Amino acid sequence: MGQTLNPGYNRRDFIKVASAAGGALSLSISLPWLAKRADAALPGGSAWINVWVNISPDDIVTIRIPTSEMGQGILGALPQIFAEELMVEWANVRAEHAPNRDPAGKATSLTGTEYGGRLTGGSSSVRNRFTLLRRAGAAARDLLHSAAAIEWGIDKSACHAEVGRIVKNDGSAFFRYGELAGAAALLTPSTDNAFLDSILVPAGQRRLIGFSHPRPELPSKVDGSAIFGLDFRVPGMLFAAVVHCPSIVGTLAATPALPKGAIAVVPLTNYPRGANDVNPQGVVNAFAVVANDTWTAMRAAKSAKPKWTIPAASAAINSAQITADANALMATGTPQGNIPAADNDAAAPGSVAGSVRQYSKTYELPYLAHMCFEPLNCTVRVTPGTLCEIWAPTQSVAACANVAASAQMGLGLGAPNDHTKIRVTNLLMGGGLGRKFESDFIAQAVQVAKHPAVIGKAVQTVWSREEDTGNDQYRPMTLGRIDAGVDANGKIVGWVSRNVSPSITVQRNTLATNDGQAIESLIRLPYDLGPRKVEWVRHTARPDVGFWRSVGAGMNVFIVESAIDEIARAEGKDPYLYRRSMLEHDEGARWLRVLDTAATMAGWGTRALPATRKLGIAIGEAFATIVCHVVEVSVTAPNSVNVHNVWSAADCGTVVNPDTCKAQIEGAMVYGLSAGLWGKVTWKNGGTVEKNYNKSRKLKMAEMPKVEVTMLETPGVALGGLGEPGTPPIAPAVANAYAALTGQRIRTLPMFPAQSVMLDL
Amino acid sequence: MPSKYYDLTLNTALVIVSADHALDEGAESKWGWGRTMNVTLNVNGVSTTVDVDIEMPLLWVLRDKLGMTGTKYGCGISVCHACTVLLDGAPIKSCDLKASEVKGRKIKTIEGLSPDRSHPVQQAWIEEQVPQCGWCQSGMILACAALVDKGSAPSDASINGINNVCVCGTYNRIRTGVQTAVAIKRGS
Repeated sequence: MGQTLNPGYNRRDFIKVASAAGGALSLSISLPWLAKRADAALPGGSAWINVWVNISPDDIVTIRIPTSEMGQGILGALPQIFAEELMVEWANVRAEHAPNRDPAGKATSLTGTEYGGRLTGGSSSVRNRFTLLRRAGAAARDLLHSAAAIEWGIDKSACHAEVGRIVKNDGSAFFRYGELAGAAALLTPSTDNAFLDSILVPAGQRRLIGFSHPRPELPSKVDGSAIFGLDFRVPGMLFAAVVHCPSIVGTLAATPALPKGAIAVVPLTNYPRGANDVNPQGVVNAFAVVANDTWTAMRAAKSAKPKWTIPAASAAINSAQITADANALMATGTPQGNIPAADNDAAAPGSVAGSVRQYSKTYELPYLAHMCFEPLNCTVRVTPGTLCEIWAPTQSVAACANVAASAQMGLGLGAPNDHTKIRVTNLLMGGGLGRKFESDFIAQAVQVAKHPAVIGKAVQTVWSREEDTGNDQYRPMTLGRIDAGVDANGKIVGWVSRNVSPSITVQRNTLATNDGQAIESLIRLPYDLGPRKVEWVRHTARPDVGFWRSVGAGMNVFIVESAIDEIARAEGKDPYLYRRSMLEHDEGARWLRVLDTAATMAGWGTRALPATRKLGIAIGEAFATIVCHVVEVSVTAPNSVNVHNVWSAADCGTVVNPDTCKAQIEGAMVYGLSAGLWGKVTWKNGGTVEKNYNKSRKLKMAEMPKVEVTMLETPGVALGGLGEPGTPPIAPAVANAYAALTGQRIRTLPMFPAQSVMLDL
Repeated sequence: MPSKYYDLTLNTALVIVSADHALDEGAESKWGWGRTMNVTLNVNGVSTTVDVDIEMPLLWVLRDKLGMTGTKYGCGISVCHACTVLLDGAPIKSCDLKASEVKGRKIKTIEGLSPDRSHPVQQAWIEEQVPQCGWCQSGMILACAALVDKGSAPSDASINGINNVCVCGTYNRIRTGVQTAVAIKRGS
């Protein structure tokens, strides 16, 4: 219930402390708790009010965010939420990543729970912290409010907060936040959620949430000053280039001799992704070559002559075998995993078999590489027995700290959240895409930094583009079959969905049996499909799998939306109206609104199209956001499609920054479009055929469709994410349009593998 | 030549000038590993002589020898254009050129486009909020600046001729940004 003073605290002491905190660190006050808290005020007078915000005497508000900016706009969106409730001008806000170290004096260490976690992923930064940030901003405002009341010697109810200041109700005086911050920092923030919720800014009075305020780090991204992981520099640092075994199941037989131009060669042991990883701990599967600069390290690494031990099993790790095994599992494999009851209806196969007409369609999707534009890298400095410092383009500060604290690294520095020994600073990422929260490249960098020739110096360990592409955690290849039955009117009355794919979960913990990602967006479909049964059969294919932007939805929305489209066309139904008819019930309402919005934007059924153009539609939900893409395409050359327009509607519950939301839907769409048209990773002798962008074509300016995005809100529902949901529906929308135009139904992705070489246009 | 270091106490970037010792142009290096030579480069209007391996691409001389990390590495095989700099005003891929091949030519990197983000393309990029992750944008901005600085408003066709890859897919904002830059340049 509001701000309470600590016992033994009186106003006279407060004023002395407040002014002292404004200008200097040393205090002559005898209250021990005050002296301990006084170093919350930094030299120069700015003060950390809580773990989120620092306010300087001249009202500059620096807000720390716990997750990592990788282009998704959270260095803007998260501070917008906090600053709304703190009540400050956006022009005064600065934003930065929170390292794993707390602002001085506030706590002995941070566990991450103060920030609602430290993992960037699952499109969760905003949606998991919307309420937390609002309360934290309100709590900070409340501290300033209390500090002003104490200074004036009045009750809090006799003054109130306005933007950037606390004002006496009679208007006779005010304090700027900057004048109060030092004193506010000495008070204890409220943790009474009911009280904090009662002082939140009403939605009708918002100035920041819901508005397209400019993103704080953008100026640094237009003048070369932005520091990404690969750009981190300290004087005297070294550089290392990693070489992995060409086969994912091979090992290093002997550390190669020191190549010309190199300082050291470091054998690298595998750091497992989980407790029972199919890739065991300690296997030496790579080495790094250290030199004085990146290019010399890479060239020396290429000239090294490693001896690898490649087991016979490596030869069987090839795409033809993987597909053959998948087909066999589709025919006879035993499903596993936890399927929700509504998607596990034993009546479904009978409904299909007993229906008027049956459809059985199988789709195949390839492994996909992330290929973040900034390749993997990590800079580490180990001061033996004392300190491990990590500077990384990472989606997980916690993963980095855990690596440094691990027994495998053997640094002996204690617990991961002891920031006096383990310091992690997360830098900007040139793309994260679900690759950069993994620990493999971090653990390699720590091993290099420990080497006797390196220890004590900072070393940046880098993966070349070829190493990055060839040693990814790929989106799982997937074979998906839909068996559906329709009644005499063409209405679906039974639906059996059977997928075969490798498991992210089980690869990382061979004792697990369930994989939620594998069945994402196959289950809980709001379509009225009659009885439904979803089955997942685990493929034991060896390539490493991981979280590729939109994860399971990426594969499964293609499967579902292709099948529904095929059935619609075969039944002589309009694909938009057919989907519409399956959503006309309460549980389908949000999907229906998104579908209708996109179709209306595209003029579906109302706009005359030339014979050379056709529309395609697809809708899907991922991370609690529903997205529908409608595309307009033409075909003017074999093995290609021209995507002229994309109309997108997205319902994410609450829109924090409209401009950022639209940019994310559009950008996620482009990532999915390149993948759908040309993306693939093929396997030969345990390694990937594709190693660089020359064989992994990406959409270019001349090919970019016009895009229009409408953001929709649904008050009162949990927020949905923005980074990923735009990716899944684009490939099926384009495949559906292509089928409408050419009569050719493409069921295997990528749509045009023969065109996957990247050339200048 | 400015080098960029990270100030560990403040967690912020600090731009300082590195102390390059004076070297004789063209002299063979005494370092002894592979062949190196002293190369004088004109980068953003400043002449600097560096001692580099004769094979070292300009990209890596910029990033690691001169500490100018604004120019980015994307593929190393000259297909993605992330490493674009301007050579005598024209966009080129700096991974595709040895530093020793461009001595004396005028090299412009993103750091040299303006001292204060005042180039019309930079202003337009902020106004239109073009970048997402930003990795492609150094090269992209230079490629667009070369177009905008030519004088007349670039056509759609000439913008389509930009082959710089953007993995985040910001192409439509880039296109809008180019026209905004033209308007800013005109003073409208």
